[in-house]
Amino acid sequence: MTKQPEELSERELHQLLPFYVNGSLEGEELDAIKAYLAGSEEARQEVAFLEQLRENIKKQPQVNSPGELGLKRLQREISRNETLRSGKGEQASDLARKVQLSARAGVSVWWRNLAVAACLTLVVLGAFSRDVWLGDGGDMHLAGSENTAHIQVTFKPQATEEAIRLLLLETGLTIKEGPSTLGVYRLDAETNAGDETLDGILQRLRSRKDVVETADLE
Amino acid sequence: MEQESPAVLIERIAKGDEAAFAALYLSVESRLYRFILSKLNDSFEAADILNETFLEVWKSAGKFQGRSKATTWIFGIAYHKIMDHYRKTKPAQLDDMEHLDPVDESPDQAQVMSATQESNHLRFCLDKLKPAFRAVIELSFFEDLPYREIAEIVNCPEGTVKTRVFHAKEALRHCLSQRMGDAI
Repeated sequence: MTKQPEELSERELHQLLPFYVNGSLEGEELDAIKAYLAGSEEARQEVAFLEQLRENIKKQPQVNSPGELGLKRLQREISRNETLRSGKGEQASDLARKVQLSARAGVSVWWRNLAVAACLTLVVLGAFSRDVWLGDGGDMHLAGSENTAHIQVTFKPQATEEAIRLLLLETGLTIKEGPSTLGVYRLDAETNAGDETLDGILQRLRSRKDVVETADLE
Repeated sequence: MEQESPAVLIERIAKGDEAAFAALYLSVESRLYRFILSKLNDSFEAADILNETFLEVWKSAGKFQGRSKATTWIFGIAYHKIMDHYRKTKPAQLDDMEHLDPVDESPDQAQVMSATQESNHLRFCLDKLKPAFRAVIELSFFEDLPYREIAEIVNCPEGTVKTRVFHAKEALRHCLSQRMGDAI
């Protein structure tokens, strides 16, 4: 229960002084403090100290905030998140386009072949219907009748497309589907890898904590 | 053109209005960044927390019910992100939230007043406060907020805010007194 101002102890009145000094007290509390100050030299000294403290805290050097740059960063992230949420195939094809461009710039024949394979996979899969993503209980699962093992991955929000692209190339993975509404990508290994190899790839994905949020075998 | 209040801007943000989001950011960002930086002393970390705070505002604008002031709500989000950051990176600094080292003797008032005017002494002593204490001092004396609003931001009872301000102020007084003693 809130005490009436006339019931406040000296200690409680003392603890209200900072809020008298910052001008935020009002009504009966303000009246009680004024009465307290009128009768206490110690309280007046305390107010003088608090006033000086407040004045000098306000005088502390101004800081340079991120300003417009911070806003641009936010707008980029919001836009990226919105795209990830609604883009689905759009993102995947953009990634494929970038992979293709990377292959054209061509660091090695191996990379080029891999990139071409990635693009082919995406084109072929583009024709498939996708009817999955969320189960009734909100849990994630992917439809499909293939027996091939797949990896489900979510990427860190701050991971750049370039970093994702490089990681996929390094690990020999291609995007089979995604992102889902929850940002889940379904990846295929480039070769007919056995479970052991897939486990190895999984470990490599998980070790890239800067890019990968989660990675699991389907 | 009349500037819209943060509460109105948040209402628009909840409908996906990016212009309102930019307007809210520009109206609050500088104060909020100062508040965050004062507790982290690392401009990069502070910029990240500022970023996370506004992303949260964007995502959660629809949940704002106007029970508190809009700026109080935003500062509260930032405060919790700062404390989460401490929990992950510097948990030791969160230990014993309600305790500060006891102040032994009553320092000389004139000496303390003099030290308070010395910006470097004051900054040194503010930096020594634990995050929860520094927060209430900043909110009381830089933001000039009433204790009720501070309690909403730091999510604790009003009495705790008053006690924290009291202890933080006493710790500052003691630290400033020591600094002056060292300087003499």
